[in-house]
Amino acid sequence: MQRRLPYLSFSALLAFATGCDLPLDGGSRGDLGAGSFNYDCVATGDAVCNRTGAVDANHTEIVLGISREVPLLVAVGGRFDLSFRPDGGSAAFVEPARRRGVSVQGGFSISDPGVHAFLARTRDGEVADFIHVEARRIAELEIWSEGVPISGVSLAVGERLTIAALPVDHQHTPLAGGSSWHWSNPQTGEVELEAAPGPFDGAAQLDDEVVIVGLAEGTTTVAVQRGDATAEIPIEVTPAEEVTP
Amino acid sequence: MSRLAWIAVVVGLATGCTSDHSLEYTLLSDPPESVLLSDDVIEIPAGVAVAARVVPIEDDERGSQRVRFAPQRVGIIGIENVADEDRAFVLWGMEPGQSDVDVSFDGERVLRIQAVVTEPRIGAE
Repeated sequence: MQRRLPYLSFSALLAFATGCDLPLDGGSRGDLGAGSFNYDCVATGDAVCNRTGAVDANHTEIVLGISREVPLLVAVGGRFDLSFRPDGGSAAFVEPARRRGVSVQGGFSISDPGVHAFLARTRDGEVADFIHVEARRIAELEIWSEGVPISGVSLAVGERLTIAALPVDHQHTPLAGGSSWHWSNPQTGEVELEAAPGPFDGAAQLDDEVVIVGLAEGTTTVAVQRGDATAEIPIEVTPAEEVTP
Repeated sequence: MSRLAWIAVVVGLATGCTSDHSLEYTLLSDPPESVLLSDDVIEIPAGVAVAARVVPIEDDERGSQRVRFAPQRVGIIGIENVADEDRAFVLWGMEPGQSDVDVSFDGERVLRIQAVVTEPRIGAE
């Protein structure tokens, strides 16, 4: 699988050697090298825009990229946006090579798995550049907290813990693209779920990250769903820790 | 036209001795899946794009004519110039299917290529 970090590294070296500034919004070079494609999160729960640190960024950026790089893999049904910034010449808009299987309402969303080229077209219809993205179905939702994947949570009464769900394919490779999530728990009083801080906070039920707050001693579960994919982890709430002066 | 010239034209038509046209492709990008570009067939998977520099060949001579591609069916294959490049083209598979593509040199149709857009490959699922 190709990686785009070497480009950034090369760019960084070039910038250092020439004294030029790197573009702040990085992006990925198109296949023709005529400009850069930039990725933007346009929907809740996109792992690319995970900001809480629940998921280890070093783990995801290999595939999902950094500095608005275009991810190598996106989830089928995940929503995202691409824009093109030419090195010179006229501006261009981005459109998918395949119209069928790619929704263009409010960004892009791929419903057919496989490789999809995205073309930067000029006003004259010519192609300034293009880039490929591969869409894969979500095989599993991994649950992460504090930078590691987890299979259960133990927290004390009064403690707060941010967890995140990460969509992955069959090879456990992270997938980009936002979508609505649904978090739930039996609401038997042991925990409550709050929205995680971030660009799409305010809707705990819709984001890929959620804060678990320990309320009362006991055991319960927290479940998350995105489309057909679901995951559930056990939660143990222990007595509040005594604070010694 | 002299009697001798008329005879030459008639003999040429009868024996198929007309100008020979072809295309020379040089890939400008590295497509993620295999793509075939030739004078007879263009084969590309749906969803894949490739860029190529195209030089017209007439009677084994590299020419300077303006090359244009005209797919005969809409929505199967896309072929457009690379921006500000007269001889570079981007070809992409739009949907699985087949379409003839007429090729013209300086506005004169000289070739017909069969474009075959194949089913997209589904990666690791």
